[in-house]
Amino acid sequence: MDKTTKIIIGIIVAIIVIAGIWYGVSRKPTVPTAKEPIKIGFMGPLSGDGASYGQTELDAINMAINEINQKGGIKGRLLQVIAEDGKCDGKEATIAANKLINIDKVKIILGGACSSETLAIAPLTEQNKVLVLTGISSNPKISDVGEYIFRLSPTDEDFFRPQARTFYSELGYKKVAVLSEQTDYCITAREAFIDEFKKLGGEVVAVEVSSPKEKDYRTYITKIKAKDPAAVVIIPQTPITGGLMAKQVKELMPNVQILGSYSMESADAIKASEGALNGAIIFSVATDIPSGKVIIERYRQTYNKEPIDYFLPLEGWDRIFLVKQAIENCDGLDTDCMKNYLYNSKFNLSVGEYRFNSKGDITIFYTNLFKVENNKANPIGPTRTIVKE
Amino acid sequence: MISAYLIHLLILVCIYLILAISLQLAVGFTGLLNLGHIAFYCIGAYASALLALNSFPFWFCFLAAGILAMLFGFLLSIPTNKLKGDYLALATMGFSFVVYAVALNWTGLTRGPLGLPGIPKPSFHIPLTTYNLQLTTNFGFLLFTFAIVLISYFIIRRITSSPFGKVLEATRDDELATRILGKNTFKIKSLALMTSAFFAGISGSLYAHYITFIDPSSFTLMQLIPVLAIVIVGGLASLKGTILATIILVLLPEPLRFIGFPSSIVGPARQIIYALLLLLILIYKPRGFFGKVELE
Repeated sequence: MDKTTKIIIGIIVAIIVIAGIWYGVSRKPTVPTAKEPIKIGFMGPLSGDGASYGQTELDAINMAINEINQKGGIKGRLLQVIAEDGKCDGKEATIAANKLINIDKVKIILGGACSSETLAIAPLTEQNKVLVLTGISSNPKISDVGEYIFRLSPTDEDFFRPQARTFYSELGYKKVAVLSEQTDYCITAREAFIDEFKKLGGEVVAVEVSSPKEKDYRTYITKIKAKDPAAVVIIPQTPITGGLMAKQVKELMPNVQILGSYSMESADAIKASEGALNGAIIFSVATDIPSGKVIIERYRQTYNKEPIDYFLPLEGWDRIFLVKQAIENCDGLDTDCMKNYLYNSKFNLSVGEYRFNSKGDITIFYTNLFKVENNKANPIGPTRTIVKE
Repeated sequence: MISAYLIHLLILVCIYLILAISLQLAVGFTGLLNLGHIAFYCIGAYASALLALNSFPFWFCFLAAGILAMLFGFLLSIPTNKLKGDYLALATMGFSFVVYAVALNWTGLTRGPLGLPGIPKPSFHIPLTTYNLQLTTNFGFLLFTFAIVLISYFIIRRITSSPFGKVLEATRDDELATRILGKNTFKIKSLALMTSAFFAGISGSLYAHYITFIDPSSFTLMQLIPVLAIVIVGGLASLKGTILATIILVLLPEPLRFIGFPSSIVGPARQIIYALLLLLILIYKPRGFFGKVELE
C-alpha cells in the first residue's frame, strides 16, 4: 500500500468517524421524555425522475407539521419529520426504511411514493409493526402486503373503471384508441380502462404503449391514426409526458378529440402540450372540494410555486393529520392501537370525507371532468363521489 | 437497534461483493469491458424469483439462477468474441438493453413494471440431516450470504492465480501474442465470461430473495455504474482492491444520512457529496486503490 492509498483510506475513515461522532453528539437521550419531539419518517423519491413527486409530498408534510407545531404539537410534544431518499428503487428504499426504523426509531413512515418503494419496505415494516401511510403508490398488490399499510389514493382499478364509464356513457365515445406508457401505474390503469370500456360495448381500436422515458411518440400515433378512432385516450405516467403526447397527437391528427387522465389537468401538462390540450376533456381527481382548495392555496403561498399536481399536497397534508388523530386517540406510540383507530374511524380532511377498508385502502374519493380552455383546466359538471368497499 | 441497520448494510455489501468480484474477473483480469453484467444479475434475480414463486426449493432456484446466467453468458460470448474494448462495451451494453426490455415487456412472465412481490425468504433442507435451515432473520441471511461471498472469492482467486488466470491476463494484455503461443483465446474469453455471469446470477438470486420484491428498474444500465465504479476504484485486476472499494462505496453514502441537510435539498446534496468523494479518489489514485493495469 503506497502513501496516497493510505491517505485516501485515512480520509474516508476520518469522514466515517467524524460523522459517527457527530451523530453520537447530536443524538438526544434515548429515554423518551414528554418533551422530546415525535419522530415521523418520510421516505420517497427525493432525487432522480420521481423527485418532483416526493418533494411535493414532503413540502406538504412540512407545511402540516409547522401548522401543528405552531399550535403546540400533539399532547405537548412537537413533531419532527426525518426525510430519507428512496430513489424510487426497492433496494434504496429498504436501506432508508432500515435506517428510519432502527436508528431513528420511528414508528410511522410516510411513503413511499413509487410502488416499488412501498412493496420493498412492506416486509420490514410489518415485522417491526411500523405504520406506513402511502400517498400515491397505486400498485394493486399493496392492498395485500400488510395490515399496517394504509393508502390514500384510489387504486388504478378503482379510478380508471369510472373513467371508462364516464367517457363511454356520458361523453358518448364508442370508438377510441389508447396511448400510454410501459410503467406499473400505466399498465394497471389502462388494463382497467380497456376492460371496462369493452364491457360497456365500446371499441378500443388501438392500444399503443411507449417505453418509459421515450419522448417521441409519432410512430405510435401514426399507427393509431390508421385506425381512425373518434378520440384518443391518453394515460401517461407523468404530467409532462401527458402534455407531450397530446402535442404530438394534435400534430398528426388535428381533428381528433383528446381524452386525458389523471395529472393531465395540471399546469405542467398544459405547458408541455404547447396549447394542444385546449379542447381536451380530462377525467381526474376533483380540485374543487373546498377543504382541498384551502390547502392548495396555502401551498402556493408557503412555497411561492404551483404544485405539480393537485392531489399530492392534499394527501401529504392529510397523512400528517391522520397521524395526529391516531396519536391523540392512543396512548404513546402504540401502532396496534393507531392501526385499529385508522381502520375504524371516519375522517374529514383536505381530500374530503373518507375511511379505510379492511385492506387499508381509501374507500371514498372525488373525481371530476375538466375541460381545457385558454390553457387552463376548468371543472365541468359537479364533483363525482366514488365509493368502493 | 443499530445492529439491525448494520446487518442490512452488510448484506448489501456481500451481494455487491459477489457482483463486483465477478465483474472484476471479466473486466480486470480478462480485459472484457462487459456492460452486460447487470443483465446476468437481472436474469439471476428473475430466474430465482420466478422459480421460488412456483414453489421450487431455494437451493434449486439459487443454482438455477447461476446456471441460467452462465448459459446466457455463453450465448453472449458467441457473437461478441471477436470484439475488443469499446466495441465489446457497446455490444454488451446492447445485451443489457435487450434483457431489460424483455423484463419490462414480457408481462406474461415477469409482470413487467408491476414487478414480482412476495418472493419467499430462503429456507432449505441441509442434506443428510433433518435440520431445516430457515433464513428468515437478517442475521441468518447475513451468515449465509457471507459464506457465499467467501466461496465465490476463493473460487475466483483460485482461478486468477492459476495458470489459467495467467492466460486470462495474457489475453487481456496481448491477445494476438497469446494465440501465437497456441492458446485458444476464444474459448478462454468465453469461459471467463461464463464464470463471471454465473456469479452475477447467484448474486441476483440473493438480492431477489433478500429484498423480496424485484422490478425491471433495479436492472437498468444505471444500476451497473456503481458496480463498475467499484471495479475501477478498487483497481483493475485486484481482488483485494475490489473488496475494499465495495465496502467503501456501499457504506460511504450512509454517514451522509446523518448530516442534517434541510429537507428541501437532502436528496441531491447527498449525491453531490458522494460524487465529489469518488472524484477525489480517482484524481489522486487514477488506477484505483490497488490497480495494476489501466483500461484500454
